[in-house]
Amino acid sequence: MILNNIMMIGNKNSFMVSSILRGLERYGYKITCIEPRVEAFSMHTKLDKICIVFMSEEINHMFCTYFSGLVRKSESSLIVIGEQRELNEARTMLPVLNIIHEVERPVDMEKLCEFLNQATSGDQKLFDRKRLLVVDDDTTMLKAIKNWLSDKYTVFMANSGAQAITMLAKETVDLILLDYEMPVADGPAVMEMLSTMEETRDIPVIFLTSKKDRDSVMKAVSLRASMYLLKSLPPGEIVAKIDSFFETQMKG
Amino acid sequence: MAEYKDKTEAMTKEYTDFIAENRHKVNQLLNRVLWLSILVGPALAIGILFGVFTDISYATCILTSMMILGMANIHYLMVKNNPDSQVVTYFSLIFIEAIVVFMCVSHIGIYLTYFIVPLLSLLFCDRKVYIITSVFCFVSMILCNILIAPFAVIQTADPEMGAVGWFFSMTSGFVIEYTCMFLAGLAVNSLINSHLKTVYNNISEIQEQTELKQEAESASRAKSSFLANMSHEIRTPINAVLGMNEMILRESKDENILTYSRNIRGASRSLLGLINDILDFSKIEAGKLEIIPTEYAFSSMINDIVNLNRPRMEDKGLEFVLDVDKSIPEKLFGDEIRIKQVITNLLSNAAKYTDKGSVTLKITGIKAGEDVVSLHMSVKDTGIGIKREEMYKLFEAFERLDEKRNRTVEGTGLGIAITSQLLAYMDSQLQVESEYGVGSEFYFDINQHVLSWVPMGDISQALQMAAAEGEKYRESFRAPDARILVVDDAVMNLSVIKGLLKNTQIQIDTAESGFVCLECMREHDYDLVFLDHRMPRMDGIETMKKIVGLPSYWNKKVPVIALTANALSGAKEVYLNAGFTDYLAKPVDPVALENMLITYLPPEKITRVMEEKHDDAANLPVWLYQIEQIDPELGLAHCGNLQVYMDTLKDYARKMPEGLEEIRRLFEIEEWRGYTIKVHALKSTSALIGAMQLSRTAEDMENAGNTSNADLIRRGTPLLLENYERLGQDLAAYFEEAEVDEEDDERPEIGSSELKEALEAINMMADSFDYDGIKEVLDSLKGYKIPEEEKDRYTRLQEAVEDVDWEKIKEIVR
Repeated sequence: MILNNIMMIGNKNSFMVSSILRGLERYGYKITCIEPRVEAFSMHTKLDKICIVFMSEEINHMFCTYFSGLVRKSESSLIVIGEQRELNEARTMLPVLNIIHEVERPVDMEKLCEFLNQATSGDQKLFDRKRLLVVDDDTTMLKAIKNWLSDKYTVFMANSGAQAITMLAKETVDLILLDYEMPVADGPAVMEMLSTMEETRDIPVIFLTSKKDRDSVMKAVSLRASMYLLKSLPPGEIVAKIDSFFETQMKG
Repeated sequence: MAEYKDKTEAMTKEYTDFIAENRHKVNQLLNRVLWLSILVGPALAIGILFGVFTDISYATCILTSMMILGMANIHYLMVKNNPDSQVVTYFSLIFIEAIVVFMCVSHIGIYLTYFIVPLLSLLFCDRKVYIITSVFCFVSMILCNILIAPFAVIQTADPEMGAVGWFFSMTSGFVIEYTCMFLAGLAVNSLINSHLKTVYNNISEIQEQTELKQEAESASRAKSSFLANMSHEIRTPINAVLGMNEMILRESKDENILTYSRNIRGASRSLLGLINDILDFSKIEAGKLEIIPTEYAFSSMINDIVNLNRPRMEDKGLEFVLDVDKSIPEKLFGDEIRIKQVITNLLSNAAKYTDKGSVTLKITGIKAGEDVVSLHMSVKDTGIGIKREEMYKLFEAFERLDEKRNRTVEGTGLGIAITSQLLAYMDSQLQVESEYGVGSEFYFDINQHVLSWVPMGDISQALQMAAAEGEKYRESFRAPDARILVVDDAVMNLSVIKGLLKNTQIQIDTAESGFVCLECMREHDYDLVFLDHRMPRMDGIETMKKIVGLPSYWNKKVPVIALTANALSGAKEVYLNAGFTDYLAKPVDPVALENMLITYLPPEKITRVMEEKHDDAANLPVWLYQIEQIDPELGLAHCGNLQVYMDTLKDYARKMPEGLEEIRRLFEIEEWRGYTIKVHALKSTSALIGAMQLSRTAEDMENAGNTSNADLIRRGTPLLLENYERLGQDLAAYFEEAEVDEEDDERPEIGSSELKEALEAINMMADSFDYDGIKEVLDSLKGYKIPEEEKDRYTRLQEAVEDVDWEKIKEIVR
């Protein structure tokens, strides 16, 4: 658990630093971000077990001297992010023995997380938030649904069945909210596709649609959808239904 | 009022005491009269016999007796009919004189007069009359003897005696005898006199008392019925005030007006509370209050109590502690409403007199019998407490304690009086322990029948969850296809209900009497009818009887809800027996009204929406209300919050041209499958932003597409497209304006390295499909001016992000 606490050395105002922070937080890590200035460390005289150093001009010799001392004292492991040139520099300025991983820009978050996952502890559950995938061809609706659910869940959006399949190849989710009526591949078709694939077969699917005719509902039921929700329900109720779905799932 | 009551009570008591005390006296008196007549009666008889057998003629004796009896009768009648005793006295006096003179002149029964005169005088019970009569008799007797003497000498056989001798011999005996008789009579007279006087006085006093009591009773009855009527009359205008005010609360966006309006609501509610108190009190006084036990769920009662009282405590910053024994059985039998009233009274009292600290409601239960549980309920506060010397005042109606200190605390002083009376009705007793300045504890034990010993469980937890749920969302609904009828003779009440239901879009017909109601119901089919109970000429219950006779009622079995201002326990049974489906108390509570409609309207006509958060509704931009195709509040409800709504509207406007083109193209090439999917999406998004009319048209087209009804599609699509385009343009106009404004300002141009970094970040996040992250980066980019050569890429990127097109995003960023 403690290993989940990670320090990031970099300027928060930088797009990249803040993006990486976001990305890691989405994976369930708690990150303390510290600016690469000596004064900024007055509060943090002991470093976390893992420190991510985002290389930039601000990380100069003077800072590195001070920081290296801290690293040795706290016996931290370092992950360095930067361009090739910066990575080479890092090897000379920072305690090279403590560098356990180098990430070259552009950063592949997935790989970074995979590595972190190994470095921390394999069996730790990283995602404390449930992850949902919403599939809807109508992006207006798609974004509205995402907004309703974002308070409690990490929500991925796909605006077509094809995109949903692509996304599911890379991301794991706990639940899929599927629209019924979509061009090219409609809801049931997507669901059939999902059930043929090993890694997506067991993901529960809830239909969230404005189609309320009997045939559609029957078809969804025959495909073993977990629930059939109407978009006309008040948002609060939709969220409540999904909450209760997870609750019963946890109990079951 | 209290004065009246005290007087009446005191009088009643005096009256009964008096009767008890005097019954003895009257009995004693009657006894004496009896003894007297036993003594006097034989004396009278001996006198008469003596007269008869000595020397006087038999007939005259009889005549005299009869005259005496007749005179006594006349005297009796006169006393009875004419209470003016003076006239009676003189009249009787003349009679007696006549008799005495007659007897003396005829020289009969001279001895008889010895008895008769005092006896007669006794009848008048007046000493003066007695003395005058006696002296008069005495004088006339002597005069008679003087007059008779010469003839008597001739008549008797003894001539030597002479007239003077005869006179003295006759008179000397007579004087002695007469004086003795007179003195004895006087004694008897004064004895009877004094006693009779008391009796007369007593009787008149009793009469007076009875009259006063009747007066006071009828005044008290008049007061009670006046109060009952007045409180009904007062409730009707308060109903209007609360209702109209609720509409101000809903429709006004001005924070000042809302504050005033909330104050009106608070004041009206407390006024209503006072009236209910007074009504209850007058019912208790009139002995009309009934305890009506029913089956009830204990936990739901506690739930109601907490929901009712918690806000008051929280407003005052008091901590409300609930400590309820988990093992109390859930299903009980008793008068839930009255118990609720008792606890609520105690709690609100506690809240009133506590400025800081906490109020604790503690309930424990122990098994007291086979199917009886004894509940110990206590309300404890950390308030100002009660002085020992004022304790006794607590249970008196209209008394306020520590008047000086509590001047500012509102109330009638009826609360505790009602509470203890209610408890007395339920065979319980309110008890108090209090320490001045530290706090008070009110408690009572009450027995309730148990229907099932299953314990109710931990209520505080359930309550907390319920409270959290309640804050999360409150449901409301729309039912534009439902049609209801509201019947009430007060036009104001009709407009209140209409106003309260305005948002639900229900079609509302109104009727001002039972007759109009029946007419309406003959002509139209309604989904629900609200029927007022108190109406002139034909009241709600009579109207209901007639409704049951209507054929249309049986066809559909329309739910009819009674509206009533006298919602008491047991009222429900009364209305259900009369054929009503349910009843609703006036003043109408908006939430209860809506719940009633949700319960009884046909479910297919109801669309549930989430009650918009008040703040969000107030913050809706004014221009939204000017767009005719949109119901902004409905849209807000569908979207959940203002941010989502505004985003959705913007998106809707942005996507309109493309969507319009697509539908038009599919329509023209008559590709119905694609067309149907597109109008289906339009249906959902239009409903999402609150454009219900457009959504319905789209739905019609979708259905036509599903059934391949090309004719209908051809006819309906032009209108659909026209409305869609107009709505999109109307919305776009407002959003573009905002864009132009932003364009003018002087933002720093973004450096190439920063831009590169931003794009790299977007790319990275697109890999993990982090939409919010990308949005954040784009938002921060808004703070910069984008160099001319990158502008096109930037716009395309924005478009792609809005469309959630991951491939396109990555393609652009690369």
